Amino acid sequence: MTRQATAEAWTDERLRAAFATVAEVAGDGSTCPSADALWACAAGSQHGEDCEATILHLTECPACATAWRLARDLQRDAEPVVLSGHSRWFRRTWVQAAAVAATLALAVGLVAYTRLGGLSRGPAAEFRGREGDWIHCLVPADEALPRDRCRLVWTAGPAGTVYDVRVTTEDLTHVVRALGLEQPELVVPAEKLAHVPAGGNVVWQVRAHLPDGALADSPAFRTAVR
Amino acid sequence: MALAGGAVAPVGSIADEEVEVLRRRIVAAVWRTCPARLTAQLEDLVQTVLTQLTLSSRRSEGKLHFSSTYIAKAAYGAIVDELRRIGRRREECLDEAADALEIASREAGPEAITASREIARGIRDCLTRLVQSRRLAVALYIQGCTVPEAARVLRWSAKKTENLVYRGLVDLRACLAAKGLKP
Repeated sequence: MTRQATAEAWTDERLRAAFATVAEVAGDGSTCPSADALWACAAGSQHGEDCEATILHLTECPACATAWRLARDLQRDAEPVVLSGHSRWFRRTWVQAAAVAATLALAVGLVAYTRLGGLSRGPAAEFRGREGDWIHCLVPADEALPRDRCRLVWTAGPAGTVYDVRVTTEDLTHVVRALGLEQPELVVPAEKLAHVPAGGNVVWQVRAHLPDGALADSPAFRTAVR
Repeated sequence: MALAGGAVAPVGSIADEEVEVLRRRIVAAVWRTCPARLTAQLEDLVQTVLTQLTLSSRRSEGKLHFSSTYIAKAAYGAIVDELRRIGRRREECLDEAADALEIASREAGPEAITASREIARGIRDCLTRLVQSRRLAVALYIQGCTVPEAARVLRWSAKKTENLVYRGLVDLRACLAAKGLKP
């Protein structure tokens, strides 16, 4: 490979991925900027020269580079990804309709409960208080998913369970966060996987909101991406 | 950090319900912020932030008052501290299995580890050789910023930033190629 060809092989994505996978820690952290400084610089609210000093430090300190990306992703992610594509009007209307339906269902349920002398344990009961250990990754462990069809799947909770999912690379770079999923699956858009090198892993975790209000957090899962 | 107005309240006088409400807000903030590899430390991180906020608590209209941004920044600070602690521990004890990337590297084999470290050193070295303005622009760009984002952070015009990113990337690629480093 000629030098020109080698240089061209370093695409923007490959440079970013290589930089993000630098895991060595430089120094003892005593010269690192404070968390406040990293946050302010990522927000664009730090004074010019101070911010420049912070950025120059990032090129030498992978730990701070990781922390800076985390701040940037948090600020960038203030509006979480909504995958459903429904309009705000639709969601508001849907929520109002759901509230009316829930009230009716509650009333019917109370009447039934009173008349029948109590119901047996609901389907959600067996999922409560188990800290999400019932949530399993259903992507085969030995399978690397193609990045254009990266579908993460996990065990479903009882009917009505809603899921939040957070996906990062192994070096903590934010990939995607999805809230309010009604199905136990998430298709990660291919463009969100730019930081994941071929053969690299994404790390993901599910939070399940059970119909009775309980929360369950899964362990972190690793899935390889081709 | 400066807090919104209000008098300092002694910790002992904070009602349990107020602390519980604050704790829930902190749990939500830590959950949003916490990297996957710190999941095992979630409870410790929540406790750290809760202690920090209650010790520096201020009241507004008789209630503990912290904005969501303030809580998010406190959570971020605790997490950065924890990441640095992990980094220091790893320097002291290289075989500690706390770091996911190290685990992945070990699975990839010694050759992959060597290649990865060589590339890492190469990128860092090449970045330090860039003219400072290009180094700043490229550092943000390869951190995942778009050109407009980098321009906002650096308070430069989009055109200037774009030029410096472009020229800096050309220099960086040439430097990596001169070192014989391939992706």
